[in-house]
Amino acid sequence: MSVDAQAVQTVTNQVWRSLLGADGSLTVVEPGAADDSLVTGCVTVSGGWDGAVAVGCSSSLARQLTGAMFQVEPDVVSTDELADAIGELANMIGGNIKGLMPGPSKLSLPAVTIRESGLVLPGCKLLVNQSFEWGGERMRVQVLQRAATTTESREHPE
Amino acid sequence: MKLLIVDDSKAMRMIVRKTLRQAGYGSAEVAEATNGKEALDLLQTAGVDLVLSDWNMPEMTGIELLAKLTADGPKVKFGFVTSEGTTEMRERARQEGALFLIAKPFTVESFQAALKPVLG
Repeated sequence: MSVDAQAVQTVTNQVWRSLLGADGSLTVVEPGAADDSLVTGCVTVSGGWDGAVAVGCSSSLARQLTGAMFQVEPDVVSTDELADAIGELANMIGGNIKGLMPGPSKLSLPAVTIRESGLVLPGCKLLVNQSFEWGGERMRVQVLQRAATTTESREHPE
Repeated sequence: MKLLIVDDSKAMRMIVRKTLRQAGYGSAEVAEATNGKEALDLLQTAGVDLVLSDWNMPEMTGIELLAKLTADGPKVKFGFVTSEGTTEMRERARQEGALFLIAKPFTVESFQAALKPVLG
């Protein structure tokens, strides 16, 4: 078993249609400089096949998808909702790609990066977000903790 | 009729709710849990007719939840709604006692086909 571009197109279109209904028809284009991946969701696979599946898109597209999934206007979606929706998109595409690879394998929980926010793990809270500068360039270190391990977040699991 | 949706994604819980309505189960009372442990806690106190659970979740996965329910928890009908629909996952789910596995992406028809034999 393996995966080629055709398989990725098929899986992605099936997932996209299921999330966006009649509007969910993607057009296949060549990779190019216009790829504007400001929001990226990623899952990793380990076991019979070791690898990762990442889904990246513009902030605008991520907001439109999130709005459709949460049934709200795209301009009012929160960072948590954005991470939830893009993480689930990566989970669905990644889970189906995993199924085309040799198994058995384990699928990770999704991780999402958003340009403004850095890494967002759905269900986790940001404990520390520390920025640095060196040679005029910035660097960021983040520490995240799963929200359900704190009393406060048990009351507000979202 | 009371259903329990278990999924760590709030967006997916909303989509499952919507699909249940479209599949003809709009009159069912629906509860939610964000992982297997939360679902197990809820099931200790609340009567539920069917659990619709994701597989891959933090704290306690869907298959771990099913194993605990089978071993010593309240007896409840159980099915998976998951992005992992390989033959081996379906077989493992069946062996643990799951009545069905709906693979994501799903359709209203796939919900109806899975739920009708279980809920009527």
